[in-house]
Amino acid sequence: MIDETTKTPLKVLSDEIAGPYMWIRESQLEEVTTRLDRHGVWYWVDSMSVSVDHEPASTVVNFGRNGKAAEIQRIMDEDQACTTPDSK
Amino acid sequence: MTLADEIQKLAGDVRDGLDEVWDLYLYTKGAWRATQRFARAGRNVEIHDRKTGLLLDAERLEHAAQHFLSVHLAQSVLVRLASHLEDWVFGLLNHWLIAFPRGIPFKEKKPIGLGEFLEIFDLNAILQAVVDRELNSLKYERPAIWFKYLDDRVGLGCPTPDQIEILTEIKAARDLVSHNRGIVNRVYLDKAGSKARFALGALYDVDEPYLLSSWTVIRDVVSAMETAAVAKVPKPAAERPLESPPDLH
Repeated sequence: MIDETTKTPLKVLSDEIAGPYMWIRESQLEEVTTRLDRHGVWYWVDSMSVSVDHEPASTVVNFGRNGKAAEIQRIMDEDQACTTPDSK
Repeated sequence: MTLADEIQKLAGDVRDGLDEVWDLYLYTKGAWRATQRFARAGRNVEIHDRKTGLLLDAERLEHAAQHFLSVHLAQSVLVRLASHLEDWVFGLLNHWLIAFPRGIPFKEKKPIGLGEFLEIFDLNAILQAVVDRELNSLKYERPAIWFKYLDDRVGLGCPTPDQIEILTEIKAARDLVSHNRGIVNRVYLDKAGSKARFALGALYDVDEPYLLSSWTVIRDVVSAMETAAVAKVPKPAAERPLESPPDLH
């Protein structure tokens, strides 16, 4: 899945203690949560969104201290895997 | 100040405290999230700690944010919420027992030492000391016992059994993050019962939806108990409706 802000693949960030998390544009929230729900991933979304210099607002999806960053990244990369040159 | 006034003031103070804790959470989180966005936008930030020589730049702030928010801020807010719950329950009990000390159970087994009596020598202060001692021992019990004690004295009919279980879990979680680094142990599982949120050995996660629902249930319980307790306060004689017509003869 592509990050609408950076135009690069969505990246799951990881903090050793706090667990994985991911910044996304608010406009992508439904698409991302639908995918996470489909895979049964536990998460919660910040109740706030942040906009800097009037750019579109972004928010954070949190996966908790027991979240698995690599597994979530793989789920986010699913469509990239379908479009890599090797898979064509 | 009447007992009803004291109960209402206490409830108002506790609600204000709960609101301030929630504001602390939201504002602090908002400030950190904005800092993260600045950092991710490539802005230059330099914070210099003159005492330690530490230089915080945008990258370090970005990394620290998630850890501080998800662990330290969230746990600190949970502990504060649980403190306000205790302030409410024990504040209400204190007001009630001071007003109706005959309601203290097993009075004959709670003597005052002569030394203590001679030192204080004031009936109100002695009564306060007895109530303090009574409530201090109750604080070590589980919330279900707190509410049973309260119900036996005041008969509020609230919180509901489900709310008591939720509050018991909140108190157990507070004890866990304060005393066991948030690693779920058997003590937590035993206290939390059917409301336990994590399995043995897992890291206890204080997520935002949990904080919000805890804040909401505590606030709701305070308001419901306030209303019920004020309704239970006996009215002064002048305000009491006459139980039988006055004797006009």
